[in-house]
Amino acid sequence: MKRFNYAEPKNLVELVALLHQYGASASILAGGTDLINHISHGKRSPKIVVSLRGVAELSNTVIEKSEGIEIGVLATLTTVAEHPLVRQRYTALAEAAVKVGSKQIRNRGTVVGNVCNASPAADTVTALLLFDPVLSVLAETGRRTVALSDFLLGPGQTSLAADELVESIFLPTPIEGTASTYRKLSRREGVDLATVGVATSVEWSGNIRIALGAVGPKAFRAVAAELQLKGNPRDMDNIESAIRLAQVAAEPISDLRASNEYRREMVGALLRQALQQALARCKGGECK
Amino acid sequence: MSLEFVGKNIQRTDVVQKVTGATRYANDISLEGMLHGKLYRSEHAHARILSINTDLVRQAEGVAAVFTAKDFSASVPLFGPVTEDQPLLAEREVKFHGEPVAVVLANTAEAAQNALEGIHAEYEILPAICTVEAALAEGAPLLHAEATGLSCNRNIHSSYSYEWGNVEECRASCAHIIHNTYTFPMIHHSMIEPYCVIAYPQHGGVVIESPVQHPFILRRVIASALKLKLSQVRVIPTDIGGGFGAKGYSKYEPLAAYLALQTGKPVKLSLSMNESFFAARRLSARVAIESGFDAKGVLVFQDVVADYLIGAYADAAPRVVAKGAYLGGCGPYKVPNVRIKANAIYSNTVPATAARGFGMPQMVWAIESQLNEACRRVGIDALEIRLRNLPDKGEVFVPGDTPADGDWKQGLKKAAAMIDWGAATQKNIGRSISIGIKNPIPAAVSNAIVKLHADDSVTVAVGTTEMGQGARTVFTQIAAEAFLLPVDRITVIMGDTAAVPFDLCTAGSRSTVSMGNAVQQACNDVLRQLREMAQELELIKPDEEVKISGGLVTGCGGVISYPELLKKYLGFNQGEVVGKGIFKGTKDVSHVLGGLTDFWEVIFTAAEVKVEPETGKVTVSKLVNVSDLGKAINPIQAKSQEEGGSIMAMGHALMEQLIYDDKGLLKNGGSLDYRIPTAMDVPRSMQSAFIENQDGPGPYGAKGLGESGAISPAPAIADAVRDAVGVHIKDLPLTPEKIWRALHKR
Ligand SMILES: Cc1cc2nc3c(=O)[nH]c(=O)nc-3n(C[C@H](O)[C@H](O)[C@H](O)COP(=O)(O)OP(=O)(O)OC[C@H]3O[C@@H](n4cnc5c(N)ncnc54)[C@H](O)[C@@H]3O)c2cc1C
Repeated sequence: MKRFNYAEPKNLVELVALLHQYGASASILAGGTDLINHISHGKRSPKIVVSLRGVAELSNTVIEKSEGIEIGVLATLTTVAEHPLVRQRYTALAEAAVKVGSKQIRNRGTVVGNVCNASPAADTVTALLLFDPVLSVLAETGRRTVALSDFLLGPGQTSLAADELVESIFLPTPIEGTASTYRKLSRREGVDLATVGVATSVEWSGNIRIALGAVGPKAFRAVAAELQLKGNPRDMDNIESAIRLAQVAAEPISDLRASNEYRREMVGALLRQALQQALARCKGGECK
Repeated sequence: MSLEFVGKNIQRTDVVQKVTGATRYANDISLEGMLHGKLYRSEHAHARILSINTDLVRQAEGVAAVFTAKDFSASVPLFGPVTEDQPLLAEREVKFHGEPVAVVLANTAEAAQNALEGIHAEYEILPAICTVEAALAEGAPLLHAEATGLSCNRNIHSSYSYEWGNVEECRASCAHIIHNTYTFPMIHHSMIEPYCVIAYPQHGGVVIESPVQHPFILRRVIASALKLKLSQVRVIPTDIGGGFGAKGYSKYEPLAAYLALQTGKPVKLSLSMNESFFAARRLSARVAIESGFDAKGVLVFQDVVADYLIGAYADAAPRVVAKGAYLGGCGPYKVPNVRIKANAIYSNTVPATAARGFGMPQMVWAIESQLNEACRRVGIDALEIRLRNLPDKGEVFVPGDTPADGDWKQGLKKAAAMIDWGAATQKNIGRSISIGIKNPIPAAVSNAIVKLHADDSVTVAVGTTEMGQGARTVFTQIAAEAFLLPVDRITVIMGDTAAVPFDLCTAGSRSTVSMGNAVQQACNDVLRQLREMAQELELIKPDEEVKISGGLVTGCGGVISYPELLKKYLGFNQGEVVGKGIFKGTKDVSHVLGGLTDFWEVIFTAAEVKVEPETGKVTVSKLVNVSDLGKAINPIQAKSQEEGGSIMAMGHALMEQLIYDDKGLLKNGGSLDYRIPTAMDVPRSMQSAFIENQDGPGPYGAKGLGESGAISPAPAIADAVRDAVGVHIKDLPLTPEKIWRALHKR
């Protein structure tokens, strides 16, 4: 049994003060579906666990704003997956959130927790990358914002300082008519981590975005492949060229889940499926 | 005969306790002054122990005692149900990754767990053997060279051969001879409840409470290992939260019993779920099989060499090999010429033991796959080739054993019809069909005692254990039917070796038949005694037709209730009527297995799969199971057994395998990395049906089931994949990567 203190600050002032006081020896608890495992496996041994659940100012919903949506730090995966606007405009995110773990995990775990845990295979991270997400970060010294791609540094690593927390994630409204999708390959249907995750969005104009998960130290946008497809996303040969670029950008490892060779190939297979689906949705007017 | 309780979906008698959490599992037990033990385990697969430093730990807060091999008064006792080759704690040498080397006893589990960090062991690492090839290689290190006095030839614990006809002479007459090697991975049972045992001294002996399937075998093993009399060992099995064979044979109970006797205190060893991976697994196997067919696809011979990889200690594995091999040449088919040799091969891996299907999934995987290959060569389908090879009811297919005891072609055709056999399929969708077979434990004994109390309630005392299979409910139904009393008047006491009569084990799908018969007989014994009492009291005449049921003895002289009768005969509030029943499986000392097959457990499985060629992903869209079970005493429970078994088999067909690296370290010992099917992986269409011809030896013509679902799905799924996309895979599991490679990397 690991011992640690536990605090439930009531407001932001108390919260940031605690984080300031304990710094790296504090761990923030959102849903706890990652943190508790890390503690019991000895990956983390905080002196104090600081829960966000009682902090009055923190939101557990998706807030619709004029220029986008804001995902509250305590919004669960279920909340995000079921939110009508998320499903409509940020379809890939809803599809990724609903593929995380099991219902119990999704009812407890949060999108922000998924992001802060910074696993290369985190499903919502791959999907979020399509939507220019900006994180709002808070500390006793003040607020700052940071783009998700700059926030993620590597497996389990973020640019968060010891006394900082993520307060929310802002996603600007995608261009009218954007369709998106998330494809996940795993060893089984229920409760499994992605062997490979691919998210794709298509704009009316023909701009394509591609994000890849579980095939590198962090999820990333396959920019070269996106450029290849720009303006010509439906041409089969062009798609195959783009797929090759995405595969080159991937740096998968071999582990118990799959070999690197298979993972690289699956980037292609999943991307092909994802493009097909996103393009079909776009054509079908679903994304309007 | 119309039945009131048997054949009905009577609600499980323990369901409310289970869903409300009221059921007491072993881990819920806490006794005054109890010490908590935690195990220090080997980080190596094979190593000589140079030193174990426990000095720090002995002083630690809350620690009562620490045991390593050096702390035993004599050499460390060895235990095992077949061969006593496993030490309570490793002495001199560790033989598998995770083997217990030391145990800390403390006042709390937490203190014991924390203390483990202070133990330090030094080892000299030895080469590890984790595959059949490595174990059999020329000059391979011998795992049990000196230790057990076994005549260990090349790490082979024992070999089993069966033969009939003449394989050599019939070759020339075959139109097709097919030779293949199939492999079956190491599978963990993945029961939800981890291991837990509580042991305490009592009356100069020891009591063990543990979720053990076979309390009487455990009693024998502990008595033998610790040099006690059977009467000094009392095993009280707790409700089992999943066993599947993993909890059949002794695991940590002998150690706990030893520690309780040494310290004079109750000792609890409660392990984590991940530690289960260091305790038990199913045997893996490499099966080389040569099959000869005539031009019509009728089997002429099968010549089989099955190398089963057992673990570092024998556990029950040699029995698994002996029994698996018995049907390994024929399965459920008529094969006139058979030769089979099977080896139980030691390795530096977790001890292998019984697992649902007991050696048959490995053999059926090979036999059924051969038929699937043959039907392609002959140009008939998978259904037709099976119909051509199945025996008719009453036909002998294993010389010297019980003939086919069911209409197997009826069952096979039913499964085929349920999956629309022969209907066209779309692209990348395939179907196939397979048959699973198993014989129960031969010459096995079950006793039952049934007590009719003064208020006409009934206690049924049996050695069977309840592990979710529903035995408690089945015996309740059998007793309720015998007395025609409502089920809530029946209480079933299970397992306690000091309270219930001997039963061999809860395994081999045997309890409904063997214990069911014993219970029925014991009930009839009570009824007979009631009749005699009534006669003696001259309430009825000796030759009078009487009805003894529903709590009443009815003769032409009138009616008397059981309580009245007992009062009249024994006196007010004095006693009960005790009935005894026994079932003895057909013993035959001349038979290789010591007895004949009491019933054949046969199942027909049809699968439909969808394969995604781009990724290699397989989705089982339809799974159909038909069991030839004689009579379903409780149809919904029987269906759950069938479905549960086949979902388990989907695991070994598609995703499960324990992975050892070349140093012999288990890489995926835990529920995060060892994947079993979830509810989301269950086929969209899952159908069960039964063939109920009441032709079994159990009560009401029942045969056993419970294991069969786990035996047959793998070959059906693999062949359906072949039907869908043309790849022929001979080593399980059928992971997406493997299928993708077969499709794209030819
Ligand atoms: C059985 C199981 C299955 C799972 N399956 C999946 C899966 O399929 N896909 C997947 O992507 N993940 C999966 N996960 C991982 C996990 O559920 C997700 O990552 C989840 O989104 C984490 O959210 P949480 O709120 O529980 O995070 P927590 O565990 O509370 O926190 C996660 C990490 O982020 C930190 N943190 C949390 N909030 C903040 C904050 N506001 N500011 C700064 N740091 C913060 C914590 O200190 C911790 O290090 C699974 C986990 C389990 C136990």
